Amino acid sequence: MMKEKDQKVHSPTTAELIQEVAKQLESVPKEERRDFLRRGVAFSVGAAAALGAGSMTKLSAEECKVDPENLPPHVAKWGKAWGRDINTYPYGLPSKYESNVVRRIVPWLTADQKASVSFTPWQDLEGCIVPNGLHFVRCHGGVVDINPKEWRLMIHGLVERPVILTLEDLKRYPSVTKKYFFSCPANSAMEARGPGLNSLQVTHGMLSASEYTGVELKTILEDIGLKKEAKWMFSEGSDPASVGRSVPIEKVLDDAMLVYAMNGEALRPENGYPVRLLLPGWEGVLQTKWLRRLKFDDKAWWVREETTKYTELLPDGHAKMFNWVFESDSVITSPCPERGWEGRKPGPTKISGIAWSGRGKISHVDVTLDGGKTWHEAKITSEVLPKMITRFEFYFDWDGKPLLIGSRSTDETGYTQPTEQEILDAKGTEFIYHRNAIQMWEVKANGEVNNVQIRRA
Amino acid sequence: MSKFVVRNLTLAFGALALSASAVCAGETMAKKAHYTPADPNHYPYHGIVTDKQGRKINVDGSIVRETAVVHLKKGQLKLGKPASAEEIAGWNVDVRPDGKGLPPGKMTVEEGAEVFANNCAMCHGDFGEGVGKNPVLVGGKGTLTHQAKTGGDEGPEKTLGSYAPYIQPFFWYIKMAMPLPTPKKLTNDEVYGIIGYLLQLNEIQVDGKDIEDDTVIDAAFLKKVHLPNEKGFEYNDLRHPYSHGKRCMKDCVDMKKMKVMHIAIDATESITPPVKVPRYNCGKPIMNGEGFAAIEAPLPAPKGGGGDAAAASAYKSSCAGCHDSGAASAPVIGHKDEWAARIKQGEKTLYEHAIKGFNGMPPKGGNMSLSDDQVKAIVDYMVNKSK
Repeated sequence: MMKEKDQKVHSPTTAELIQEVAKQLESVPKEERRDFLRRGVAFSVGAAAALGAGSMTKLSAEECKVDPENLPPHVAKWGKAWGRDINTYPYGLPSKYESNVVRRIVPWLTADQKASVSFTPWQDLEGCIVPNGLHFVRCHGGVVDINPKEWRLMIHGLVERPVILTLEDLKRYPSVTKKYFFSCPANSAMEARGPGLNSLQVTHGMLSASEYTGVELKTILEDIGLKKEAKWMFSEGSDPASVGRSVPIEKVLDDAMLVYAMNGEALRPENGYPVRLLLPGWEGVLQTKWLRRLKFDDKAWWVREETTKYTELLPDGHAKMFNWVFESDSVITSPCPERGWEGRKPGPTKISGIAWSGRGKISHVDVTLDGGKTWHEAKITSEVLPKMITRFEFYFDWDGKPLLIGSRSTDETGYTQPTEQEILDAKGTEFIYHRNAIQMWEVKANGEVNNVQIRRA
Repeated sequence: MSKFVVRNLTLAFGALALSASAVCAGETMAKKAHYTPADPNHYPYHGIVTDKQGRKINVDGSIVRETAVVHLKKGQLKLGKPASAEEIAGWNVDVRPDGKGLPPGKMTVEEGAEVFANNCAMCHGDFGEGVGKNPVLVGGKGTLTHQAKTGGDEGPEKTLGSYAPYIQPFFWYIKMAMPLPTPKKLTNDEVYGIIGYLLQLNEIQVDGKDIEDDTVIDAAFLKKVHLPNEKGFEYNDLRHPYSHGKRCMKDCVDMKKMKVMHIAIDATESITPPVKVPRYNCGKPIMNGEGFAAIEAPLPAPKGGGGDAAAASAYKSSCAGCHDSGAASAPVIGHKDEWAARIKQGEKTLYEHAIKGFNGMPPKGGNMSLSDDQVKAIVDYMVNKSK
């Protein structure tokens, strides 16, 4: 009976579970053993889940084997017995076979893991939305947990009615739900001096995308009244780093939002629970997490994160500031260094990737196979929404010879993504932020894929 | 990966760039500076304009889309409670370049140096030189045109003295965000003192005079300060991108004039968890220890110090900043000579110093969220590593 129950729960841990129950049984007086077993069965569901989950990091040889007995014309074994209880995982988990699909870090990049960054695994993602647990995380003072009942938002300065809002208040306003990409302006920054790490996750993993729900700031400002002289908004977080930035009023009154949900559920703590500012298409660092205050004034603040950081230092020694928007960008996600074409035979082949622009919709994506000499228009394979990830694919006959592949996007304003050399000529190597150069991958004859750049000889 | 490689690959995270690779000679020669310095009193790109196709273009060059505006009669919902003057005063702490927002308070530079030594030097160094990967605050003059052209060349050194345009907004930043592990504990007086010390270290003159040890720093003084790089910034005209490509389809580049540049020093293996694993988990696990188990069945809160692994992890996040490097004269973990005399004093003394602070050691290493038991467990861990 134990065994049957166990199979429903999780296959690999039968032996461990029985041992565990037997061990506990030893310490139970004989007269209570019957009771214990009854309880034990219930207990075993939880325990098996925990043990099974723990063992996910070590899938057994049995679980990994491709058993011909499970392939046609045979009937697969998983169809021959009950599955596990439907609510074994009340929140839900990906398949145990997908447990390598996680955020990653580069430990030496930062002094600590509080003011640091983790990267989204685009090499293993499909579609345009990034699951909440895989959204990249960039923090300046670590992740904090806020009791939503203690959350307050102060709106003051050049407004007619300075207010303090609770989360309940915010949720009573008319809301909107929209899809947008979200990126750190340092996405791809490590490539500025030459190809950095051999990993799509690191080159382009400070980029994610979600469906956001919240209230447009212009709706709230209609309610409390914005004074004419207000030209700038200061947003400030309540977290240890109290990240703050200046936002021009034009953006506030266009599509800025205060969001409390992403992809249908409350924001994750890593993304600013319970409320963050959202400025579609703009630098992540402006989109204050754990928001506590919005102040309206006639001039900008020139705070650290918009002067000594997040400014583009050019070769002549002066820097561009208030860079805000992401210009058109794209990258091939398949193949990529993590997921190459090793073992693939020449023949009909598919290249796929993502494109995005902070200025509006993507209008074209082109793909090159020869390092940028010749370009071919790719097929757009997703919805095309402004300021959102757009998917593309390109199909061709691979002759099995080495390739230099890359993608190039153009947005509806007519802006086309630049080459590495064009970026170098315009910005040098020390500008760090908003690097949207065409990303080239080298595909070797054996299918290995490497991060390369094509520069003037 | 060797320390040498890590050093070569690492810049402060602010820089987030690898110095690993060679750039072709001559391609990024310093050009003569030619720009209109940004003025905090005037932002020239306000407003929405109409392009040739009749589309509305926003300050950022994006196309403005009319979204269905929910028209409220002003004050119709009247949500929220009025913010009182007292409530606003408590949170209204931002400071603009013109000094608007600077609070009352003052401190001499000499006293400021003391505050800096006790609160900032553990990461920024006694003289703002930076410890480990933490930001350098002093120096860097004349380096802004440096372009890292080879693996050996350093790029620009961006500090308060060399790069920051205005010191005044830093009052808000230091007050709210520093010191990193225990922010918002400095008094207004202390922030003035720290800023004074940093200005002195950067040899900033005010009214043509050096900043002396007994110079008193307050709001009136800060309003007179001009940093050397005040005119070093230009507003980016986002409606006219300064780097862009052409949508060329054929014969776009002469490949004979180009070269393929590969990764110079490959640090890919340092990615955590390892990146070169199969997508499907089959006997090659990449989870960091707990993995799903941690999500599934949260471990009970650790009793006492929480065991060796917990102590090691707490050490890393709260103590390693100084005790890995010897910053602020901290004994380096594993250096038996430095520890022998300390260990002799007995654990009671070590615990007390660690919990209450001692010389350059801030209470609990600056992380007041640690319990006394956790601090003791970390001390035990450090002592065991240093015997």
